[in-house]
Formats: sequence, structure tokens, C-alpha cells
Amino acid sequence: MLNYISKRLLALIPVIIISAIIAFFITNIMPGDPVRLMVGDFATEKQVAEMRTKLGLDRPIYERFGGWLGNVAKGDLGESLFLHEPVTKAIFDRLEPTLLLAVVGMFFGIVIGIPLGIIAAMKHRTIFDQLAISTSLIGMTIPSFFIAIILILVFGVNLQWFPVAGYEPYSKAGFGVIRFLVMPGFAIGLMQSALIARMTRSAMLDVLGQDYIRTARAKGLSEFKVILPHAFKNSLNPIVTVIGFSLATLLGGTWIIETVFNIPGVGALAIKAILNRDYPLIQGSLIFTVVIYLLVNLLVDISYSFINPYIKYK
Amino acid sequence: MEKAGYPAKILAVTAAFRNIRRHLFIIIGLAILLLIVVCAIIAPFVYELGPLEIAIQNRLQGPSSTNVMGTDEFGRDIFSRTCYGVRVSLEIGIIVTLLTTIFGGLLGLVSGYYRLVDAIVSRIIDGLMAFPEIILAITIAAVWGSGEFNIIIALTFAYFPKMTRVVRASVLSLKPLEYIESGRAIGAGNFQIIFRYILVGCISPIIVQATFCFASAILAEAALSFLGVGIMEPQPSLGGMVSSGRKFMSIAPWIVIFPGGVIMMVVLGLSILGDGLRDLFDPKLKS
Repeated sequence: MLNYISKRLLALIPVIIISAIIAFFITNIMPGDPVRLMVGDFATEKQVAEMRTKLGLDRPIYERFGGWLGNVAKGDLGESLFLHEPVTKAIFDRLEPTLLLAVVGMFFGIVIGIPLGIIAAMKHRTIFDQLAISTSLIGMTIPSFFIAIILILVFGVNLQWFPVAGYEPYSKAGFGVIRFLVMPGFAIGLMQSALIARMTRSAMLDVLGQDYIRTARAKGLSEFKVILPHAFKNSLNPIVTVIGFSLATLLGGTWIIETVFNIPGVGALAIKAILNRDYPLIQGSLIFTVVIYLLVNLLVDISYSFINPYIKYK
Repeated sequence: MEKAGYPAKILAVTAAFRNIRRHLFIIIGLAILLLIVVCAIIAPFVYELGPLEIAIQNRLQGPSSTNVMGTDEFGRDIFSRTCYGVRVSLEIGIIVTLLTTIFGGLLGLVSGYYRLVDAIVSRIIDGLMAFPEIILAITIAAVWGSGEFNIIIALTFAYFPKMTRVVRASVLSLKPLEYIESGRAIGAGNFQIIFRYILVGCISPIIVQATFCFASAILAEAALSFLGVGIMEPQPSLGGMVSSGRKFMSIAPWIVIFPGGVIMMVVLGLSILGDGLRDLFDPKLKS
């Protein structure tokens, strides 16, 4: 197992390097002059040249890239142009709300998606099935920022159940932090719930057709025992896979939702960095997102052997 | 067997529904899209208010006979702006889907067929797919500057890797089949094998992936415009309208509900169509 994990971790390195190359070139090969955009229209030629030297942009691109990649390998993502602090520090300072938001979002995704999928599979080819599938389809088609706005309007402004925006860290608000995360979490979790429901349904349908389910029914087990310990447990693998994949959408969603709800997380930081053209910070946020995504998917792969002991890794 | 216990009526309705469901999905999807497209195309000719006409005295008016969907904070007509926004969304969606299909599809065909190319292309695709699509799109659109052309480039960049993966996977499954070998036996060259033998077999996954790409591109364009890195004011876009309407939504909810609802309807139509097409093409579901 350890052998497998270390092999997989090693295999992540080339992917991360390629992603880093992509992150670097997206921000460096672009039409227009970034320095001009940064210093504004009224800057003199001298100021532009000074800024260019300060950022090291007067060096050839391959040289800059080499230096940058070397620093990234050492865990140094450079210094933010706008915040004047190291990019790694800026990201880690804003990690708490983003991670909590992702957890709450995933919670909604799972809590809505799995039961919906199980019901659809149990009542396969009935109106209930169609209803569950149609509901999940609608969940997949509403833009997350639109749900967010509707939630703010209904539960924030009109009913005043939750704060309309903002965030208080755990150290200050304790478990009260949840109040700030319910609406944004639901907004990004809804789409995941739709994906999870669909996968749960199809995985359950595969399993429910198996002989051992018929055996379980023939033994006279209650429907509950047939569905949960027999069927659901055996259809967990594809469900866990889709949960891992949907994390990508969820991480992407945090960029938008944190901005809507004014939550000071990594996503809002990244959007601010983009609007301020803070290149080191943009590159840093991109690499951070990729690493988190790849690590979670590695965890998903490892979890297979816990879910299904037949799967052994060498 | 497991249906025992349901009233006969429900079973009968369900069975009837199942028989036409496959085509029904396609019909419903197309109907929703057609309705929206026709509205968006015809509206400017029959509806007298333009999307950019400012009438401050009419600001934040609710839906009425003159302003079907009400007016925004500058008194501009929301229906007219929504129609225009739909056109922009569809235009971007169609071009992105075409580019993604052509570019991603070609890359998938070639990398599935030639192992050496695959070794390089697949690594790059791995690297690109490690980024959440929307994040890639936001970053490219923002860094390269907003505007329709850059959004199209950004979204194509974000969505082509998935198409490449899908096509590559079908090529790999088709390559060892006998009809490819028989083609080679009668003297077909690589070019002919790829485009006349393999491409035909990949058409259905390509079509299905393209409809999903279309829907995702429209959602993503809305998100980009919402965040202020897509289509810029005063040019109307559905995402941008929701974003600028946010400040007034507690006194004038229609300002966000109509454009937001229309995005949802467009994407819903496309997703239903995609589902219907997938059911139609998937041999496993045909039984």
C-alpha cells in the first residue's frame, strides 16, 4: 500500500510540472504589455522600465521560467505584487474559509445526491425515478451564482435566516462559522448533488440486477437491509469516483461563490489577483488548486481498497 | 418483479412514458431551445425597445405591457437585453463547441492512432485537465483581456481536453477491431483509416460530448461575464445582467430573475437534448 502511494505521488510530479508550465505560460504569453496594464495609462516610460526590471520581466522568457520553476520546486511561489507578501503566506492565510466551504458544499452534494440516487434506483422506471432525474437535471443547469443570488434574496434579505454575505473565522465565531457557509455551501453543492445522484442511480441499478441481491431478497431480508448493506455498499466505488471528480467543479465554484458572498478565501483572492493582474498570485492560486485537486483524487483512488477489500494495490 | 406493489395506473403511465422517452427527451430539448432561439432572433424585429436605449425616468419598473420583463437601473428594457444576451451566449456557445470539436477531436483522433503522438499529447491533456475548467477559462479570459474573441479562445482552451480524451478513448477501442484490419488489408492508408473508418465510429460520442460542451460553455460564459471578465457593459450578456442587477434585486427582483432564468432554460434545453442523444446512441440503454 505504502509502495503504491509513493508510486502515485511520484507520478503526480510530472502532471504538476506540466500544470505549472501551463500556469506560467498562460500568464506570460499574452497579447499586450502586462507592465503597462499594471502601472496604468499615466505612467512614464521610465516608470514602466523600472517596474519591468523590478519584476524581472526584462529577462528572456526561458530564463524567467527556469528561475520561477526552480523556486516553485522549493515551495516558493514568489511575492504578491499587490499584497506585498509571499504568495504561499497569502494563500495559507485564506485557506480556512475555502476548505470549510468545500467541505460544506460537498456535504450538501452528498446529503442531497445519494438519497435521491438511491430512491431513483429503487423506484426504477416509475414516475419517482423520472422525478428524481428531472430534479437532478435542473440542479445541473442552474448557474451557481444565480442560485447564490436567489438564496441571498430569499433567506438573507427576506427571511433573514442567514447573513447575506461575509465571513467570521472559526477562531472568532466558533461553530457559528457555519451560519456563513450554509448558503454558499448549498449554492456550490447543488450541482455536485445532481452529478452524485445520477452516478448513485446508475451504480445502484447495476448492483440491484446482481444475483446476490436476489439471494438477499430470497432470504427474506428487509428492503432496508437489501438496499443499504448489500446494494449501496457495493455501488460505492463509482460514487466515490464521481465525488472526487466533482471536487474540480467545486473548487472552481469556490472562485465564483466566494466572490458573490464576499468570503475571504483562496478563490476570492484569486479573482482579486486576476482583476489586479497580480501574476505571481494568479500562478500561485492555479498551482495550489491543481495540487489540492490531484491530492484529493489520489485519496479517492486509495479509498477504493478500503471500500472494496478485493481491490489491492501493488 | 420489483415493480410489484405499484398501482397499475402508475405502471401504465410509466411504461407509456418509457416508450416515447428516448425521443421525447430530444423533442423537449429541441423545443425549449427552438423557443428561446426564435425569441432571440425575432424579438429585435418586432419589439421596438433596443437593448441599449436608456430611459432613466423608467428605471426599475416591473414587468408591464410596454416592458415585458421590466426595466433595469438605467431604465433599459430587460426583455430586449435578455434577447440580445441569449444571442451572444448562443453565438459564443456555438463557436466554442465547433472549435472544441474540431480541435479536440482531431487531436484525439491522432493521439489515439499514433502512440508516439499520444505519449506527448496525453501528458499535456493531463496537465490541462488538472485545472478545473472554469478556473482555466476565468484566468485566460481575464489575463488576455475580455471581449468575445478572448472568451471564445479561453473557453475552447478549457473544454477541448475533455473532447480529446473522449475521442482518444473511442479510437483506442475501435483500433483493434476487425473492420479496421480489413480496411488495411484492402490497401487503405493511415489517413483513410483515421478519417473514413475510425472517425465514423467516433461520431456518436463526439455529438454527445459536443452538446455537453455547448451547455457548459454557455454556463461558463455567464460566469465569466458575471465576474466581470467576460462580455463588458454596456453590451448585454446574461451573466453581466445578473451581476449588475444584484445591487437592486431586493427592490426589483425581476432584474436578476429573468436573465438568470433564461440561462437556466437554455442550459436545461441543451442538457435534455444531450441526455436524449446519449440514450439514443448508447447501445446498452437500447435494450
